[in-house]
Amino acid sequence: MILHTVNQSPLQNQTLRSCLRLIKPGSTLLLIENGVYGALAESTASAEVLTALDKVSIYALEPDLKARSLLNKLLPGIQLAGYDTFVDLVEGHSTVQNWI
Amino acid sequence: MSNDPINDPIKKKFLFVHRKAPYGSFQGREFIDAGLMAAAFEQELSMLFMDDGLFILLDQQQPAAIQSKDFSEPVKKFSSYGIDKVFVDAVSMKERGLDTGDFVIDVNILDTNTLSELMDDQDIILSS
Repeated sequence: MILHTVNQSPLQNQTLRSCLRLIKPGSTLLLIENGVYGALAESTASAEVLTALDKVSIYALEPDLKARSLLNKLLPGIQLAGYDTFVDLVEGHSTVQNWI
Repeated sequence: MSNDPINDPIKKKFLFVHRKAPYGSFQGREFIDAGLMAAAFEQELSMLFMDDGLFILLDQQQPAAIQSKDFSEPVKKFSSYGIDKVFVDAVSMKERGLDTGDFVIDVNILDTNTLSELMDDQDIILSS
């Protein structure tokens, strides 16, 4: 299985949308840097992310959420990842696709 | 004396359009600092936050978590620099599910038509 990472805001470009279009069920998506805006509960990208949550695990990097003051605005179902989890996710997947 | 730059400096209307999210790069941060600098030269300044630039205004950012400088810190200095024209695009706000209670300073929320007029009214527009 592939670990996908996205570091771009879905409100600024199509990177997250392309990832969600191609990601296979059962895969894992980790939102990092400005990618964590994809974890917002009430944005124009929320519906697509919510739909994706039915088939993929989605994590958001907690330090990036904290820096941006987003911890209290998250979609239910998004899992928080610290740097330790980030390392575990990379280690636990055979391939990493970085959507940058 | 119409050409005395010391006692009668030329004043222009500047609009800074903040469109980039904080922390992804330092472009946005340097752009905010440039705005403060323009204020020091006593120009007529307006600040507009739209698109992902709105996220610069969020209260309670904790940049220590990623060893970064606080992007909202220069925004908090706006009033002490005499910058009181701070505008936010209503459409961008709605797209992100944000409301005024989320912001670190008081802002004026403008609809699309009013924003177009604001832009029309400027001498110089700078955008990030």
